[in-house]
Amino acid sequence: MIKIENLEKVYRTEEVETKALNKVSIEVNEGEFVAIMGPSGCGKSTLLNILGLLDEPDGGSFKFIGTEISKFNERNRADLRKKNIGFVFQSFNLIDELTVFENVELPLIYLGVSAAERKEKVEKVLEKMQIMHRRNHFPQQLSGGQQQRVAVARAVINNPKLILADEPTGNLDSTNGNEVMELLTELNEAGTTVIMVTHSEHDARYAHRIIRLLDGEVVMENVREQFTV
Amino acid sequence: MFKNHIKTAWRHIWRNKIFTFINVVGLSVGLTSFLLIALYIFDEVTFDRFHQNANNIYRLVEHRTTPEGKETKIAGTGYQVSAGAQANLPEVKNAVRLVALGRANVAPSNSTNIFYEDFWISSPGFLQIFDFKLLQGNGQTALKAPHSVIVTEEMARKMFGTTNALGKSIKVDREPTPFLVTGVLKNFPVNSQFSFNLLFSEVTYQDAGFNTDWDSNNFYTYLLLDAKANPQVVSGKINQLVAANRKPDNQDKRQLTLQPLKEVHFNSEGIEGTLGKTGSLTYIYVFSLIAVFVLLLACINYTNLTTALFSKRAKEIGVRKMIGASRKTLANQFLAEAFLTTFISLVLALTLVKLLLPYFNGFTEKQLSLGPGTDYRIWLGTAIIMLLVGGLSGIYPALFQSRLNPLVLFKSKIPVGNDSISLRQFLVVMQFAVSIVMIVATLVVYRQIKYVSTKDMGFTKSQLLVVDINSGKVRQGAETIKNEFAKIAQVKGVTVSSRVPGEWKNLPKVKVTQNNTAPAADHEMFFLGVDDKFLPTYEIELLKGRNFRAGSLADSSAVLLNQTAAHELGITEPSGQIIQIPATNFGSSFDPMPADKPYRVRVVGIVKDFNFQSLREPLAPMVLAFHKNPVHNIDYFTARVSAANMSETIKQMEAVLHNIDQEHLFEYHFLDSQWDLFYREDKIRETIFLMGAALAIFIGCLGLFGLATFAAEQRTKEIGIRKVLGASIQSVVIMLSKDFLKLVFIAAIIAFPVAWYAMHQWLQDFAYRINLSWGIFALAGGIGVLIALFTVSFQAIRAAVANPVKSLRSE
Ligand SMILES: Nc1ncnc2c1ncn2[C@@H]1O[C@H](COP(=O)(O)OP(=O)(O)O)[C@@H](O)[C@H]1O
Ligand SMILES: [Mg+2]
Repeated sequence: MIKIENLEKVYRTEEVETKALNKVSIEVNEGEFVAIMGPSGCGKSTLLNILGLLDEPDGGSFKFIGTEISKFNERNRADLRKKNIGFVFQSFNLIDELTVFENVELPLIYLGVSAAERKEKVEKVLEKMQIMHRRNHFPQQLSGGQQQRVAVARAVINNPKLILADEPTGNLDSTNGNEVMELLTELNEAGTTVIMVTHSEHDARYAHRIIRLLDGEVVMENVREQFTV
Repeated sequence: MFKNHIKTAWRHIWRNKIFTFINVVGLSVGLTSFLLIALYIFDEVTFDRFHQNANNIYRLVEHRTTPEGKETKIAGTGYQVSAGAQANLPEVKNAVRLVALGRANVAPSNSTNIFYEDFWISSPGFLQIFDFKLLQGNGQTALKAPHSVIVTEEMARKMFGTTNALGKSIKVDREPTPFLVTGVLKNFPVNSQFSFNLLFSEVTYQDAGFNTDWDSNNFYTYLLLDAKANPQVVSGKINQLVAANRKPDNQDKRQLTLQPLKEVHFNSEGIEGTLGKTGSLTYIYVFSLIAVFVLLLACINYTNLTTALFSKRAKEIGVRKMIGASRKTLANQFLAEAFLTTFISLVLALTLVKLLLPYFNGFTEKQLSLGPGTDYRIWLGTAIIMLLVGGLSGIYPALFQSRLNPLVLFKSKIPVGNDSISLRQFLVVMQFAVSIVMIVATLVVYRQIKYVSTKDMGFTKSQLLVVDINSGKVRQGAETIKNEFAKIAQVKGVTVSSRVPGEWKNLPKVKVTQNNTAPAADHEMFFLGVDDKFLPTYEIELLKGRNFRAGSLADSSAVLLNQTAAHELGITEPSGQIIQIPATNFGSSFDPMPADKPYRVRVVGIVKDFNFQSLREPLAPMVLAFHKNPVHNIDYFTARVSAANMSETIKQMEAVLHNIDQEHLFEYHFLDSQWDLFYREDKIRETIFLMGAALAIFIGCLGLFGLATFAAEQRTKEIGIRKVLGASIQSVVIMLSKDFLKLVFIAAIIAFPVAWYAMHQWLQDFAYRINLSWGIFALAGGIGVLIALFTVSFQAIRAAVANPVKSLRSE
């Protein structure tokens, strides 16, 4: 599904030049659940942003579902993104002005789905995330765990092929964190590819495979069976 | 999607109450002033244009050039000019003549309820050419028969207690035969040059010798031309016609032109006798400028605050982009927010306009209204303005904020972008520059008006009561009346004169020659006939020689000169120098000296210069002749009265006059309020500038307040750290206020030259004017700074006194 080769990303500020990604090559197959780990500043978020079509690489190739997209312009990337990718963040990133229902509904609106269909879909997913009773609440009225469930609901509302999660449990206690991990696992089992950045070895255990980064380079890839504790 | 935009916009507006409040208040105020001004301007530019024939109606204007080369324009011509044109020129489809034959006492035939009214007569064309609605009667025929009169509904109500006045009869003091009411006219619209109460049929006076009158300037004349006719050609033909019929006139060169009716309102400067209120295009421009500026300032606020608020919303926008919002979608959302805000403001503004209209009407002397009946063009304009304002306010956020990459937006501390900071600063500078210009203008106009109304004018203008002489009887009995007035306890002095300083009618001018010089060395001087009490009553100083002597017949050939006149004639000591005024008559009926002979007089005294015209005019030479002179009759009593018990004094004076002439109407004015009329327009100007300044400052401050709030919020953490490290409250307040004050200083630097230039131009109108001292500018700048400081420090102090522990935790 995803195939990147020799991917490079360089951040330039006035004085310093940071190589955030240095010739990274990764392949992720459809239906996989991959965890990306590494110390702070090693380039995890940068990688995830590029995978999520939010950012452009400075070099290398990036094939997404068979299409080379490293040269795509912003508009085409945005289009591909809204049809195929769902995001979950550490800080939930819900829109404060919108209710739970409206937050989840938003991607469908941007896709031009009709109101009736939206209602049906949103209710179904809220039901599944067990947050239906909070549909008319605003994000601040919810606990962190509930907020992250809403965020996950929003990420999956248009049945994306890929879910990208950047430290999804980072702001949650272990109970809530586990719940979210269960959710992601369920989604993965239903066929969605999941790529997750995490600091937690515990969470990484939910994944099939761990990619470890250090200073912008892949240092190790291991499948679940070989996980070191 | 649209619904979603509106919903989101509404939520956003609701959540950011302070910003919304500032925006809505600013935009409402902007829109309110815009709407009021638009109503005013619309009314002005539609003046006289509501007639169906408006495009084809022309007013005849006569241009005269005297042998001395002096040009005058008069809105009147002889009877036969229009009669002849109508009869001989096929292009002239209809014509109307109007003339006011003085004033008359009119009354319903069966009543003693007398009204003193202008006695207007007109040819039947009046109701045929113009679209004035008759409530009763037939417009085609109403003025055709002798002894017909049409009355306005208001007058009908006054005279008959009803508008149902058709067929009633009216008696007039000058006519044995009563007039028959043949029409009741709907009251004249305010934006029409015509506004009389009664209109009598011209044909009543067909034997008055009009049919030979090619020469006078008595008749206001309007022609209805064929739509295809070229007015230039027609006026050429009229001039030919007139030339063929007029007495060979060797004195003046005369030329008739056709002035389009639509131009009369704005283009009548220098045309004598223009009917109705004339408008000023300058006002229209100033008004429009203020309206546009105020509205622009409000839009600027919106843009300013929205971009300031942007960093707060960055996350939201980033999320939207991430989950699929396109740039276009976001741009639409920002526009929706702007439009919704504008719409709310518009609703508020319309309410405000309704509330303010009565006061605005009072100020502009108009009868503007806003409602379902208002001209559709006003509503259309309002809709367009709303779209414009919404678009203008929302366009920058829509373009700029939707452009950013979601990743940039996600950084919790995104840079708002250097360009947008400088844009905001630029906008604040503009707002304050406009405000400061307005403050300077207000101050200058205020000081100038104060200066002209308190300047020493060479006589004491307060407590002078001027009484008009309206009949021959009163004129004959002037001596008696003067004596009787003088007996009233509150009256300290009485004088009679032909005109009074600050005269609201024409001050006549005469040519003055000296015996020993050639006629070429004529001097044009103002002429005033006065009695011996004039100087003491007006408190004018006699510099040299002597005053007139009471009752002296010999003094009929003596004159006083003012300093300027004496200087022009080279007279330093009055010693009976002979000067001569060529035959001129302004309607005097002084028997012993015939008016058709030159008037030879001796200079017996010189008086100190006094201002007898608006202070826009410089001092001019003046000859003061004795009240018994062949040039000009006496027309006024002036009494110096004490302030106490004024109404009793007036009553007693009226009784004195009434004893001499039963029918005489007692007309009086206070001279100082008459002088104030000279500066009435300027007073209005002052008010306009004051309001403009207030509005500009108000909206500017709203914006500044918003930005200060935002800046304080943005720097909460910084302030917290500074305070923990020991910064004092003052130092924090100064730190926060400094940036804004800098902007106001820059604004002042931009504003001063603009204001200086504009006000310098305006002051050129006045012969007597104040200096544009630096003090005025310093004061205006000071006011700007103070207001800005007040606005900003409010937020700055709040931020500075906040508990640092709390503000640090909030991050
Ligand atoms: N916008 C940026 N500008 C400059 N440097 C950046 C930017 N974003 C990330 N970096 C740098 O790139 C490196 C990788 O960052 P990131 O991908 O955020 O790491 P991680 O998510 O693994 O902590 C870091 O050294 C970081 O400082
Ligand atoms: Mg990271």
